[in-house]
Amino acid sequence: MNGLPIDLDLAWESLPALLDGLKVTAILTALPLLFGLALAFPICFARMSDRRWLAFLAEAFVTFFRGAPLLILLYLVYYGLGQIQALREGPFWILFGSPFGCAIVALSLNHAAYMVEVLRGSLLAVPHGIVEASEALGISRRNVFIWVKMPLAIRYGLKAYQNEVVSFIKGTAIVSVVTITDLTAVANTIFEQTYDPFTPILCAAAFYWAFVNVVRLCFNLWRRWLNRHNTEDAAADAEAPGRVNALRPASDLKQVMP
Amino acid sequence: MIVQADTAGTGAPAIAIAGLVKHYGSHRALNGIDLDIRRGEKIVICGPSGSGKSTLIRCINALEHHDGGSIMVNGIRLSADEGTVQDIRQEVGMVFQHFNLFPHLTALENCMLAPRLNRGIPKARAEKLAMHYLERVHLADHARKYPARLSGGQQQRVAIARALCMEPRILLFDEPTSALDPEMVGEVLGVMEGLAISGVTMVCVTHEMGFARRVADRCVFMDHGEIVECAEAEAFFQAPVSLRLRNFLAQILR
Ligand SMILES: Nc1ncnc2c1ncn2[C@@H]1O[C@H](COP(=O)(O)OP(=O)(O)OP(=O)(O)O)[C@@H](O)[C@H]1O
Ligand SMILES: [Mg+2]
Repeated sequence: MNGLPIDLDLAWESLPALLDGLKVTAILTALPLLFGLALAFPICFARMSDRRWLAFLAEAFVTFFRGAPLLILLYLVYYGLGQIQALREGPFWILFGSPFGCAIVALSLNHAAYMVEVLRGSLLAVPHGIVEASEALGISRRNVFIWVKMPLAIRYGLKAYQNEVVSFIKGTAIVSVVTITDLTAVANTIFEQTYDPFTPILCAAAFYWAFVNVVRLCFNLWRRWLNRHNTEDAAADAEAPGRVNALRPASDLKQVMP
Repeated sequence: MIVQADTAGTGAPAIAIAGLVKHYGSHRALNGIDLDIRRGEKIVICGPSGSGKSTLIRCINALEHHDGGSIMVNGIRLSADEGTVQDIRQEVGMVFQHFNLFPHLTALENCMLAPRLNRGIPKARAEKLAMHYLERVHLADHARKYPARLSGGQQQRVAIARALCMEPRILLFDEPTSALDPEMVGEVLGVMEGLAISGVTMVCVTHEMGFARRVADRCVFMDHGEIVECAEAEAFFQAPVSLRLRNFLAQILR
């Protein structure tokens, strides 16, 4: 034994199991990010709709799924839905019958609720004048959304999106309560087998850390690429004196998002 | 009231406004505007702040919806119908006080976007079109720059080129030089004067009285949502009739 709290031999032995756990965590991140985002768009449109009842329904969705702790949500989906006979006999049981399916559903709903607000905040941050200019050019509403509003909204909302994704990744650790062997569950199992309180947990932490930082790196590259219009042709700086109308940071974004 | 056929005849005015009323809540921003603008005519609108100048020209391309009277653009009667609005906007370009360029696109891409999306023009042709109009506003050298790298005057000229790329028959300007540093006003007005010769119909809200004298066929003075005086440029400046216009001119030409 050396002075480290970590048993390096155990860490090495646990590596394959931990990597398997990381794989599960990665899948449980990627799929809900995808489904959640896909779900967030229509709900965000509903939330911003002029039709009061539609906006109200969307807001109720957001309030509920943001308010419900992920653990409770997971229990509700996993244990609660199983009580419904019709569901047990229906085609969706493939989804709701497995802990994995339930975790995907609960995580997606949770992520969607947060993304509705991120999206809405970003869209509201797009300067009204720029949207008007597009409309004045006779560009259809759909095209204005695709080519003007969304590209700008992504730039304004990227930071908020990154924060949501990072905290979401850490949040996935909760799935171990419904018997899924994600990274946290693997570490826990090793702990129960060896009674080493540090090694497995610290290793898992290192994996989470690495995962989160890879994600962060991707976001940074993405941001750098998106913001090329503010960084490019630095050589031309000297000849362009007054810089008006630079893509301003979304200062009003903070007001929209709690 | 103006009696006017619904089809675009050659003699039809470019813009025919009759009894136009616009409210913001209970505030009457436009109070019965009548104005006919001939094809190719250059109109300058001036008046004190809050008099409804912006509201008036924003009604012409339906950025604001009017709630009384009628507007005919190239013989098409403006309604709330989205298709009609879209049709009219293809014919009417607009330049804003604050440029409103797309910050994520280069000057060239700013100019290409509408032709590509609205007309489905292929990229290479749209690029040629955009370069043509960027040359016209003397910005060919800056085509690949993003708006953040351009001065205010350059940005406004890109905005003009962007509007021209849709080859509109009518151009609306809402105080195009009032957000600019004084030394950049000239370059933008110069481009606009060049356009005036081209035969396009221009409606321009501005307080640049020198420009108005050189370019305008008629000048319109607005106050409290009404047209107080409308006259040929010469008469407008030399022999203003109403006291309000005389006071206004005295202030502005001080
Ligand atoms: N979106 C709006 N909501 C409520 N009131 C408005 C709105 N836009 C304009 N108004 C009001 O309508 C009136 C006319 O405004 P408008 O912007 O047309 O004036 P303007 O002549 O262009 O003034 P300025 O020279 O300051 O640009 C003003 O009293 C203004 O406060
Ligand atoms: Mg105005």
